[in-house]
Amino acid sequence: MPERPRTGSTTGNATANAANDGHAPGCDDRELVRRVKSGQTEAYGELVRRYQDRVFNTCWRICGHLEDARDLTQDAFLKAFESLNAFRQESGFYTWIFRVAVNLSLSHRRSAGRRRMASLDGIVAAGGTQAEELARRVRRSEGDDPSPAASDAELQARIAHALSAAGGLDDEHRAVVVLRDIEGFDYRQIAAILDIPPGTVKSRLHRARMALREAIAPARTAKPGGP
Amino acid sequence: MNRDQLSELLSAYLDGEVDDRERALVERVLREDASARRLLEELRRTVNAVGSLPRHAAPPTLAADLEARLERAELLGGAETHPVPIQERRAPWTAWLAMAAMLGVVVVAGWWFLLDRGQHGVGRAENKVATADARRERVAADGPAPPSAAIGPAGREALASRAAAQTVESQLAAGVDPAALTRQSFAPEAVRLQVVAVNAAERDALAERLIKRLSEQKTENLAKRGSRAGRSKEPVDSFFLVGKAGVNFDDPQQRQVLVRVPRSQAAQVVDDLTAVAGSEDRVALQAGPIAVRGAASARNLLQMVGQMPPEADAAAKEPKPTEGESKTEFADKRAERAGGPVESAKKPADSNRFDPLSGLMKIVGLDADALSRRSGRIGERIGKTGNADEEARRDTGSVAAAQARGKALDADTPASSGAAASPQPTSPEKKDIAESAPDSTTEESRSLVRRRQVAAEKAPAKAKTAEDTSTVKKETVGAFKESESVRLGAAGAKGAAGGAGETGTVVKQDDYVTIVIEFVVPSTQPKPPPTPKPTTVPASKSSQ
Repeated sequence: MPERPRTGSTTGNATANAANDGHAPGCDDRELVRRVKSGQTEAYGELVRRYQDRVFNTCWRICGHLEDARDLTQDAFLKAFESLNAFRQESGFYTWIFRVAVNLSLSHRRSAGRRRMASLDGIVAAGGTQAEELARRVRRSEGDDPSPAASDAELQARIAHALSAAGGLDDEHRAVVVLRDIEGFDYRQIAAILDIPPGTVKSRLHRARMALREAIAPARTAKPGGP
Repeated sequence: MNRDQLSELLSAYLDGEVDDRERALVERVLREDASARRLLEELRRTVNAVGSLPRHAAPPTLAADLEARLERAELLGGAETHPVPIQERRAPWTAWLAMAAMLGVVVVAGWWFLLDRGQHGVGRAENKVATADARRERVAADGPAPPSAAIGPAGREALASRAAAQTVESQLAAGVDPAALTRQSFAPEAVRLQVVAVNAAERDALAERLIKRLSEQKTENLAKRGSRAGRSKEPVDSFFLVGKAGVNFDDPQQRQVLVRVPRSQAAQVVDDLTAVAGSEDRVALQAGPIAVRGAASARNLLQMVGQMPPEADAAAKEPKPTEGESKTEFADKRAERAGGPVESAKKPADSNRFDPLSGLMKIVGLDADALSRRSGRIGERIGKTGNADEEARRDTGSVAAAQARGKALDADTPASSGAAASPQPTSPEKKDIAESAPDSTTEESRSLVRRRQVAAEKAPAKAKTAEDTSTVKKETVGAFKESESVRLGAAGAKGAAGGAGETGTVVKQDDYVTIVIEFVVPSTQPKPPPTPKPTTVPASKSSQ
């Protein structure tokens, strides 16, 4: 049996697979979209509720900044709302809203360039406050904190840094990793969201993982029991 | 299988995105290769590390902020307050920019075309020599000419055609109704009456009712003529051509009925349409660049553009009693045709002279007489000029009448309305000439008339029936069903042959007006929705 990664996170809701089309009994995304098109825009609120967290996280991981992610998420839902009549429902709403959000985030990244310097977003997000992370590193260096959890935190910090704007990972590869390993979409869904062939998804994901593997190499080798 | 291929396969294997053959291959390699097992483990750890990154819940105010943005946009009248089809969210300035660009292309292409024409006119040889010399000098100095310099006349014509096509494209991009463009191509002279229906069902019902009404009138008119067959001296001036609904154009939102009536009965069509629509306000009319709403305004506009003569003119154009026909019988027929009292025909023509200015005044609701009194002779002069123009246009087969406009302008004397208002009996061949002659009174148009006249005289004589049929068919608009046109045209021509055969009087085709009646359902606009309710965000699951 192939080994499946744990696509969930500590906070839970990344099991996605976009099967969330039926949160409310008898009221799937398709029906909600139809209602919005017919003028019942309160149904759009339900769609926003369903996907805002995942869309926000996707934007955050791609653009690398919480404030930007907030604006991008708003923009994504607003843009989707404006052009809802053009949405023919040939794919699921989740695919569509993620496509809008990813495209906006990538455009934002391209327009912003790499002007922003590396931030501590990743470290903060991975382990809490900057002070806590520094304290943890000091304890570890002094041999006071040999627990595997500390090593996992460092691993997460390195991964977060590698995924951040300063990580050196291309935007296209970052988007694939975020959609697969954080949001849990399968290759077919990622292909639909990014509008690329599944084979391209496969190769991009492979290259991105190999790059991340290199990025976390020191932590990996330091981990007890590691190869 | 090299290392890259193996690692890619392992990555896909981790995700379960391999087929049976690949899975078997990977598992065999993993059994045999320790480094492959190590790589798989590293990849799995990497994937798990990425997947275990903390997540942020969306900010609690995200939904509220989204709502605020929607509200603000709605208050500002922006388009982002409700779902709008993408093609309707075009910024106005982009449309204007596109039109301006296309206009520039057309001007440049036309300039090139004129330059090319000039080279083919006087001094063409000199131009060619000069051009050849210049080309040689340029080649010597700069090498081969750029591709643009090699464009010949055909290429420039193609450019002009392309520019024209781009103009149409820009009009389409600017939201111009494609059906309108088609109509402009096919029937620039046609008058368009329009009724706006609530939905497709009402549209179809209204179209059917109008067709039925017009068909009944046509049948009635033909029956009247038929009852007098063999002894009627009445010219053919009262039959309708009714097109099948929707056959003329491809716009599924419209149903068209094509009507061709004598000018004197154009108002009757407006009345028929008003009766079918049930309200005067639902009728609109477009003639050239002018469009008005309401049946009364439509009648005024018809009169103003000359498609519906005032009663005096209509009476003046009534055929005269022929020999052997009693005055009573003639008056009876005339009353039937006019559908109103014949007393109005007894008024002197000058007392109700057609005046385009007064027609416009009626449309905009002003008192033309009062304005005319204030403006002295200006209004009178405009009236005379307009009248002469109108008369010339109605009787374009007569050069003398066509010159009336020039007389009115030059001498400021009443136009020779007699020549125009009393159409002379026209032979079938000349009828074709009159029909196809242009409206203008330029020398070019007169020469065209003369050429056509000579050609017609040389042509073998044709039966009147065939002549009438072909003439009527030519004057129908666009893709009007030929079968319907031929059938109705033949029916009308049959009557024409009977009448003309006995009296020698044929109504000139120029006295007819083509009216396209459209039943339109406006495109559905999405209902402006209320602002979405604020969405609630679950408690933050941030790891922080």
